[in-house]
Order: sequence, then C-alpha cells, then structure tokens
Amino acid sequence: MANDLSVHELSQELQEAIKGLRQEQGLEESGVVTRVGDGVAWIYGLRSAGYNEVLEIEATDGAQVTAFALNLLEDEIGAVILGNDSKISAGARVTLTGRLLDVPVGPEMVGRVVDPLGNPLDGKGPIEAKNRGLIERAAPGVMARKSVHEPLMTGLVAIDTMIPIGRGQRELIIGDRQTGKTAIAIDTMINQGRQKTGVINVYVAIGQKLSKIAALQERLKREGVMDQTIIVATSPSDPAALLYLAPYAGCAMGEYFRDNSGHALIIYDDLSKHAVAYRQMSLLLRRPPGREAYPGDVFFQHSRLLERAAKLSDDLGAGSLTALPIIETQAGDISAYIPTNVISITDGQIFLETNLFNQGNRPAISVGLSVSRVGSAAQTKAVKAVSGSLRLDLAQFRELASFAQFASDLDEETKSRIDRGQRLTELLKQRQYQPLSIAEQVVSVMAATEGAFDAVPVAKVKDAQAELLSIIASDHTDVVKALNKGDKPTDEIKAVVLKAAKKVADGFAAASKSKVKA
Amino acid sequence: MAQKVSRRLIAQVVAAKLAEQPKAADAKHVMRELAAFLMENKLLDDADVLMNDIAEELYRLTGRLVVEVTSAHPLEDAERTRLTDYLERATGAASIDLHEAVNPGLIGGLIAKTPSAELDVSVQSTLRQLTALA
Repeated sequence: MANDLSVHELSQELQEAIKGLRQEQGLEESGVVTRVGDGVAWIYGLRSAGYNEVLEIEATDGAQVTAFALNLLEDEIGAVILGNDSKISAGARVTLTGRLLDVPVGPEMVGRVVDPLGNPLDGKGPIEAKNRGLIERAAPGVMARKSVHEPLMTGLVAIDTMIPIGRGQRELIIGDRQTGKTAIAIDTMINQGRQKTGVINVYVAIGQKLSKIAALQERLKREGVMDQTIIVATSPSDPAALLYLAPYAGCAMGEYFRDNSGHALIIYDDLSKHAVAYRQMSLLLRRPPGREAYPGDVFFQHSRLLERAAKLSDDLGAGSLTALPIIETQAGDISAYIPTNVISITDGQIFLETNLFNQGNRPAISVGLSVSRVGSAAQTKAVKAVSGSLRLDLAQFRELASFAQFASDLDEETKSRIDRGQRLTELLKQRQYQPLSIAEQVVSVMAATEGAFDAVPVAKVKDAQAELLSIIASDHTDVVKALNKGDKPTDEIKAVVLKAAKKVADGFAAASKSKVKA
Repeated sequence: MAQKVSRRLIAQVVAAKLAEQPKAADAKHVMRELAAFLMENKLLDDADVLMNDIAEELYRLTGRLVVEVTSAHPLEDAERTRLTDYLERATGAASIDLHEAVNPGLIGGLIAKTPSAELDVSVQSTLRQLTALA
C-alpha cells in the first residue's frame, strides 16, 4: 500500500510538472543566440521583441535563463542576462515572454532581505506576495501630485532644523567616502521606528559589501526597525545587470505603499555605483560612450528613478515616497559629472565634508553648502519656531571663526557671536543611532539659541544638553507631550524650558569656575 | 571607418531580385553575386543567418513559407497534411514548402522551424525540460 501511495504521488507530481511546461505548445516566435559573453547575449531573430521585454534563453542543461532586451538593432538584439551566463552557448534558443520585468511587492516584503528580482536572501523561506509591481514605471503626473507639506523627521538636529525634509521630497546625501552618508540614512530609518511614524523603509544596497549589509540588518534588528524595513541587496560580485535593476526594483516596492495611501522612505546607497554599473552594461552593449565614458542617457536613468518619489494628491490616497539618494564624490568635487546630474534632479542636498568629520563634527554636515528646496513648508511648527535664528547664527559664526584665535583683541559683540557659534556647533554634534524626538530637538535648540547655554563651557555643552533633556523628560512630561504634537511652543512652555536650561547651565558654569580656581 | 551594411537590407534586396526572377538559372546567378558580395565585405560568417533573412523576406513577398521539419521517424502522408494545414492556419502563408529530415535522437514528435518561429513538440525537448526541473 505504501508503495502504491508513493507511486501515485510521484505520478501526480510528474503530471503537474508536465502541465507546468509550456502550456501552449504552438508555433512560437523564437530567436537564436549568436554570441554570448560578459553577461550580454546577442540574439538573431525575435523581430517583434519590445524594449525591456523579458526573454527566456534555453541553457545547455535545459533550464531557462532570464534576460531582458536592451538593444533593439536592425539585425540583432542585445539582451542583458539575469543569472548565470556560463550555461548559455551560441545557438541557444530564445523565446519572448510578452511581459516586462516585475518584482513581488506588498506588505509581505517588509522585514525581508531580497535581491532585485525579489528572491529572498535572508534564509527565511519563500515570500508569498500577492501582488507584483513593474520595475519600470512612469512617474505620477503633475495633477496626481500634491505639494510636499508633511515633515519626515530624520532625528538629526542639524537636518531637521536647517535642512528639513518632507514626505515626497528627494534629498541628496553627498560626500566623500567615510563621511557618514549611510549613517544619516540609518539614523533616519531608526527614527521612523522610534517615533512610530508608520513609514516603511526601503534600503537599496547597490554594490555594497555583504558584510556591511549584514551589519546594517543586525543594527536595524537591534533597534527594532527591521520589521518595517525592506532591504534590496546587491554586492560588488553580482552581475552589473542586477546592480542596474536594484534601485528600480526597490522603487517598485516603495511605490506599492505610496499608491495604497501609505508612506515609504527609500534610500539608494549609492547611485554612483549604479552609474558605474550602467556604464559597464552600456559599453558591453556597444553603445557609444560619452563624457567620462558614461552613456549619453545616464542622466535619464537617475531622473526617471527619482521622479517616482512623490507626494500624491488626496484623490489618489495622499500617500508618499520620499527618496534619499546617496552619491559619493572624489576629493569633495561636487562639480563632477554624476554629482551635478543628481544635484540638478533632487530637491536639495546634504553635503558632508571630510574636514568637518575629522574635526569631530559628526554628522559632518556643511550647513553652508546644504539646502532643502522644500524648506520650512515641510517643517513641524515646533521646530520651525526655534530654528529660525540657528542658520543665521551659524553663518555669522563661520564668517568670524577664523578670528577666534584673536579672542583678546575682539569687541564684545564679535566675541559673543563666536561663543554662541561654538556652542551651537557643539550642540549639533550627535552620536550615531541616537536620533532625537521633536521635543528633544526643540528643547535643545531653544536653550542654545536663547542664550541659556552661553555660560556653559563648550566642551560641556553636550553634557548640559543631556541633563536638560533628562530633567524635562522626568519633571515636565506635559511639555514633552505638547512639543511632540508638533505645535508651536507656547510662552508657558518656553518659560519652563528656559528656566530648566538656566538651572542646568548655572550648575555647569559654577563647576567650571571652581575647577579654574582650584 | 566603413559602415557595416545592414543584413536585413541585403536580405531585402536579394529577396526582391529572386522574386522577380523565378527561374533556377537566374536564382543561381543572384546567389553567385551574393557570395561575391559577402566575400568582398568579409560577411561570410553571416551567410547562414542571411539565408534565413532572405527566406523571411521571400515569404513576405510571395506568401510562400519554407519550413524545415525534423522528426524522429519519417512523416506519413496524413501527418504531413495535418502539419501543413496547421502551419497554414498559424502563419497565414499562401503555401508551405516542407523540407523534411529525420533525427531518431528526438525520440518522438517533431520540430518545425520557419525563418522566425519554431514549433517544438519533440519528446527530447520535453525530457530536457523535465531534467532541468529536477
């Protein structure tokens, strides 16, 4: 009996497998591979193939390898292979599928690490996604959008006060290697979890080291944010085609939430590597090289990607997709080809400087060169109320900073501006993985800009800030609650904060004086 | 640098000439001219695919479709008629010109190739796909 059952089951499995093989065995248009190598197959035939259409190539072992048509020439098609090209030989049969590349999308993807084709990489089993989204899709039109008006808080004081980001905005993070670009992105993702904003994070790792991706996943798990994050991972050892597709695949996953009245944040880390991968593919497809050997349409690759990040109108559900693309510069050159391309596409940039990083100013944001074109339209009223003079104070400080060494020869007003600037600069330093809430940011900045910390030694400003925040959190929970709502601080709240700040500052000033006497 | 001549254009020109001159002697002359052209322009490697293009162009011009059929066993008359009827329905060709070959390696069934499409109902192909699934 046991044998009969197993034979019956085997027979059923065989029938299912046969059914799954080419449902309609009719006359189908086919082509043949004439040459293959470096991830590109040149195909004869398939005259009716469409641009970006998915093709299936029959490998030597009978398996089907997926490719997509990128070069539609008069005599042949250049197709980029997704997968192992070692089993494809000249003479292999190629068929059309009649469809474009798509990936699984939906809430089932959240919490998972996947490749650009949607295949899981985290060992947690297959993903049973009910929906699929096209990797290549048109961006929403003008009438489908609403202006950016809701804040997306990063939790970093320097950004939320002076370079505010809104939901639906594209804000570029640009700087040399090892200046903290990814750190800003990670802190932003952590803040969405800490503040329970409900924003889904999509982190697209383009050619990043697998060890870095693993460390990032571990950190997000530790911070309790991984369950609202999707990671699309590609390593430097993956084919250029996968690196090329990664940001578009991630965007398709983020668009699902945007189009269903949700909010998503997508980080492209980094588009410089994406441009290099696209250059490699284009050169192998024999497309004519342009400036710096990049193909002529490298701008379009990024512009059509970033245009898909948008704030939708109320009629379409008011969802949003916010993009934080990252670009790596060489020697601080933001006037190079790819950086200038992406700067012109995005709604602002956060520029990180190596000098500032080495001086200990972390995040190493250059306030002078950074900008948010959306500005205060995307800032909470609470933060807006206290950050008005911050940028001006810092700008004045930067002008006078070189005179700081001549402290004894300066007039009182100059000295006070320098002192204030030094304390504000110290206040803007922030440890990694410690984003601040709205209340914490408002209290800190209010105390500093109103002069409460002017008597505190510069080196003790962070300690004073920590003590102030601790006192407000423990003794004035009503203030914390009111500020976290985002409304403009009332005079009463301001009075409470400044009183507490003065008390803290007096303590540090007294301690400093007694130290000097001793 | 000399511009490479489009293979499709060559096929269109040759097919037009062949369609105008249906006699075998004239067709032979056209083929000799084509061989000389391919040799002079170092396009001999493209000869096979070019013939395929020419066949497709001739089909477009004359409605006569050349089909290469490879079967596991020699086709019987009834099978030949069924295949021809199917191909005429599927392609809309005015007439079908079958060129038959036998390959026992297919085990069963047949493979029919037109210049731009293929019908593969061989047992060998099905087994190969089943093996790939395993």
